[in-house]
Amino acid sequence: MMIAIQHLTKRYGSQAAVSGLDLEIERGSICGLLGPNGSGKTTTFKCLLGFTRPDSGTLLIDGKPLEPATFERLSYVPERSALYDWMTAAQHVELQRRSFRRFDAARARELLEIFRLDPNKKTKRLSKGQQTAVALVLAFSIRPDVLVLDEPASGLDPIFQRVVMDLMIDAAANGATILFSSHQITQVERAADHVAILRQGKVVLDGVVDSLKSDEKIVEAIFDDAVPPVDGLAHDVRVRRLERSGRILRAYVRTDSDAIARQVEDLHPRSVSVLDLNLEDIFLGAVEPDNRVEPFGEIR
Amino acid sequence: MSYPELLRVQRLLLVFTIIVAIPVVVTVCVGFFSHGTVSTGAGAHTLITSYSLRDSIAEQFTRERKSVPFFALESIAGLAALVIASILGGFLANERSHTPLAWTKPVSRERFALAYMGVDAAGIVASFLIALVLGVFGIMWGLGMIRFTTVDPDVWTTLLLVGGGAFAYYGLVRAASQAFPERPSAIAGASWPILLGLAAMHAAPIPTALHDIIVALNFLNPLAYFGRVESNGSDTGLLPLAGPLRIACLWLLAVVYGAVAVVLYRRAEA
Repeated sequence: MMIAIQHLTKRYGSQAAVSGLDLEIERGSICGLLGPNGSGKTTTFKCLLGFTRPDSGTLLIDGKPLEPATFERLSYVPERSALYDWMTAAQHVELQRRSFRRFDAARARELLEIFRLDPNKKTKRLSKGQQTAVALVLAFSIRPDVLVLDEPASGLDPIFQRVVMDLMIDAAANGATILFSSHQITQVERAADHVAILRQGKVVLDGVVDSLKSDEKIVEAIFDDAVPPVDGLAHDVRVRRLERSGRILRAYVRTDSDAIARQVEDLHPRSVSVLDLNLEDIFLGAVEPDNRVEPFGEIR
Repeated sequence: MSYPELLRVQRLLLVFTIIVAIPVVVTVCVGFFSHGTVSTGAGAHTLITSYSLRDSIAEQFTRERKSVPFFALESIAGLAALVIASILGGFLANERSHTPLAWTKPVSRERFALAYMGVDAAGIVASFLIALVLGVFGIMWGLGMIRFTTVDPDVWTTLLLVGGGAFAYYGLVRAASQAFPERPSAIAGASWPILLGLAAMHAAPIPTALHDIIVALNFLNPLAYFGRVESNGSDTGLLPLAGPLRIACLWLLAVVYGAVAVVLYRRAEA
């Protein structure tokens, strides 16, 4: 495993930001870390990078605890800009050159061009998205083996968001291991092969994206009027979860989705369809509380 | 890795050089171009002599056999270096908002902090030299007083005293700003009235118990170590320490404060 986090716990006062978190990421994998605000993503990053000391747990990168030499091949892009606002992009690149043996000047120049950055402009004169782009230039210019990216596309327009995803995919294809967080599920779905979903400081779902998607189907029915009683479905062991939203009924089905669809047809809906799960469905299913509030009143 | 600090120190020294150069330019202009006249004799034999401020000062120094001791010039430059030291002292704590950049370099935190302090130490030495060579000598030259400078045996002891004082002050501000990293600039600014006040209270008519506390605190106060240290052993320091011991304590203080700052930096969390 390139990144191994075992039983990580970090408390701030009486509040546990991360509680017994376990996560393992294989070499060359892109792992998307998803979770609502305050679920512990940034704290996990801080512990992993040694910015804060965990209360308990083990953090290993390539089988070893974090040490200064690890950063020769590890890059981090924080959610908020940590750049020096009085320095130019070129001076930040110079800082990288002086700090890392692996620094690749040609790569840095290429990335500055890709993001259309003026190297001589002071950081404080750059937009939030451009500041993120500078941080990405610095991170990718050392050709790291491990990349930890907290909201790497934050503030970027859709074109450059796509560029960031492509850079990540390219880096992973060259053997880099990437752990990144994002609130934009489509980005995670596009780039990640592995996803971990955090809720209240714990990993509540962790696995290969394609496998998670194929685990369940959604049977969605639209009724002319209110959704009729569905007691039979609610007690069916094949149905993990039932949701209704106005005239729509959704059943998250583990197996026999076609049989469940036929059962729903007996309720005379206007239409019934069997849908593949997308990452958003997986995410919402993992992080929403057990008793969801209206309009998505959960039946079970 | 200390490249940003190098740039910061360069900028600070540039501003400092400009500030130092202003009085030098003014003095040179006044010294060379401010002329007066004196009339001697009477009637057709009146002799009107033009003289500059430089001539006047030179004449006075020669007549009264005055001189300017070099240690006094060192002390003035040392004071300027002390101001720079107090400003530089808060810089490392300012790195807090750049932690994701600073702490993801392939060096230990101790080495990172020491590299920063090395750059700052070079900046303090440079500020002393700028203040001495450009500032003090520039003004002396403008006034035509360079040739009246005398180098006495106290030059080296004074150099050690002002050097130790500047580094100890820097270390103190660095350690304090590391302990309270939210307001490093406020700590640097407040250090002056606090440390000067502490030194001033040393001689104030206050109750004995309080005086003892002030004396004890002044052993930690770099400003309390200042005072003339003469090569013949006599000195005019605030603390009851002989000259060489005072200098040694000041340098020890600089090392201890620096070490405390490094330890606090190593333990810091983001």
